[in-house]
Amino acid sequence: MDDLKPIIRVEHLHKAYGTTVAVQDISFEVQPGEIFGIVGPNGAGKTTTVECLAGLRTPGSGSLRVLGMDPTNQAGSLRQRIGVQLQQAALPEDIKVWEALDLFASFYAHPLDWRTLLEPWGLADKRNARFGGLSGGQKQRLFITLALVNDPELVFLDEITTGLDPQARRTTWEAIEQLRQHGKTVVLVTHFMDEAQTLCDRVAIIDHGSLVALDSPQALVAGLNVDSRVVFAAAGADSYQWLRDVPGVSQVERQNGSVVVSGQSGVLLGVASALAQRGLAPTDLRSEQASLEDVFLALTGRKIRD
Amino acid sequence: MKSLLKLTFVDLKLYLRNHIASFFTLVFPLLMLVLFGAMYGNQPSALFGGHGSMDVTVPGYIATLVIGTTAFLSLPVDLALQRQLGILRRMRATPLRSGVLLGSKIITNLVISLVGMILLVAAGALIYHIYLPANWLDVLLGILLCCLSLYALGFALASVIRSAGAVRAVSFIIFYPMMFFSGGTLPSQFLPGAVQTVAKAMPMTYSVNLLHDLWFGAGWNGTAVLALLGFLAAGVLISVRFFKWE
Repeated sequence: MDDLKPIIRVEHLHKAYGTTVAVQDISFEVQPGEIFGIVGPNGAGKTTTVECLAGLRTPGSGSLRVLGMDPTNQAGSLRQRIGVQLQQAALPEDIKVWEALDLFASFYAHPLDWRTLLEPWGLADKRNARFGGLSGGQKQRLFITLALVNDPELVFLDEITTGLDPQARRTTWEAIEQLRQHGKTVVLVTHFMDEAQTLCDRVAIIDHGSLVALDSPQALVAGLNVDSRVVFAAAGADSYQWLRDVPGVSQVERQNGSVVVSGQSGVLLGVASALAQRGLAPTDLRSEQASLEDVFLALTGRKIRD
Repeated sequence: MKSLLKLTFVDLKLYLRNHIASFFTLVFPLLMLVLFGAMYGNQPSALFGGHGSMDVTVPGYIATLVIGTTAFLSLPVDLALQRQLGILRRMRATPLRSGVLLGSKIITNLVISLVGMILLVAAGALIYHIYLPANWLDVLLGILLCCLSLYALGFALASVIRSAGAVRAVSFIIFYPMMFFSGGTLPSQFLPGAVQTVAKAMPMTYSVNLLHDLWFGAGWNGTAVLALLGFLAAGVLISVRFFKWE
């Protein structure tokens, strides 16, 4: 019954550096084929957790099982089957893109043909380029391909869109979704809530070394019962209180020339219909959904970026 | 095995692309040879036991400017820099074993030293018709011992000092006095007694003495062999104890 076995099982992971506790009592499971997010502010313990799972750090205590193996004792075997993209990774400045791929492929018993990775990750025309001459986005893509060169079942990606422009971020997100379509499991560490919300099937929120929430982004947001807001600009004296009759609306306020309608998720449709029935069609009608940022705020009392 | 060869090959390519490093070990000794050769020539002299200045200079330069620069200026700085940048850490995340990574660094540096030596000996033979040893096997074994011993010290340096900048600074402080006082560049006959005494504590003095004796057929210098083995052991112990991949 291998389909039911989690690909990663963490039980009571604890890691301290001297007197600083980086990770305390974290437990979770990752299912095969999912994109699992580990999110939280910088310094929360996300990278430490992932490094313990990848066998790069020895945990203080706790039980870890990755692909059925213990990362501490079976690091060599584990490394054959996983791909890791680290946060502060680097390569020698003078190495060429193809040389790096060729070199890393030689470390594995069963690498795939690295040439097949160039095109899908936009590195085909940079094949002979020096690492030092690549842009930030190109370097990130190269590191991701290095993590995929052994066709791993499980990939750990740590902060891979940091420093990328919006276009590069979208392209990277699409590529990560492709990984899931190829049957790979992805553990994604990020402090970007929008990234976690877009990509992840489930998300573990970590703050100050502890696990504060674990569920799908949708469930986490829904569980907040945070109002969703519909906003549009409106001149004139109408207080728009008649919008309170729309099902799901709890509050209607006027703020600086705008109308803010608060209510349950999905209230946008009802408000738009009610406006249309009165012959009103504001062009800037928009809805603001609660997001994982709001979830984080509610759970920890802090904004994720302080 | 496949990774060892590939890693070594890539390392050598990268070394040649880094012009400053390759200049020091490959070109600089040649320039010095030509410069001092022009000044002193290679006529036999009682000062050097019947040999010419260049005859004596070539094995001296091998010990100091080729092996010494590799061991103290290039190896530790490259290692510390790769560690600081996270390059070593990225490699550790792969199945690559530490032993293979280390082994490739040693082989790469041996190859570089060997090429430097061949260039120097070829230049010396062509330009100054220097004395060439009859017992090449002994000389090569001696060179191997010097390399391993001095490289081990270079590794130890990169093990106990974390930052690449600090390693670079300390490497200069260690290397340059040795270069001048070991007898490999300035013949020890010309150095004051006090300096010669201090030189007895310097590893490069023993590599110079060992190679000199082997080169001119005087056999294996027991003191030098023991000293070099001692330095090799010390270097290895320190490295094993203190080296970190990040």
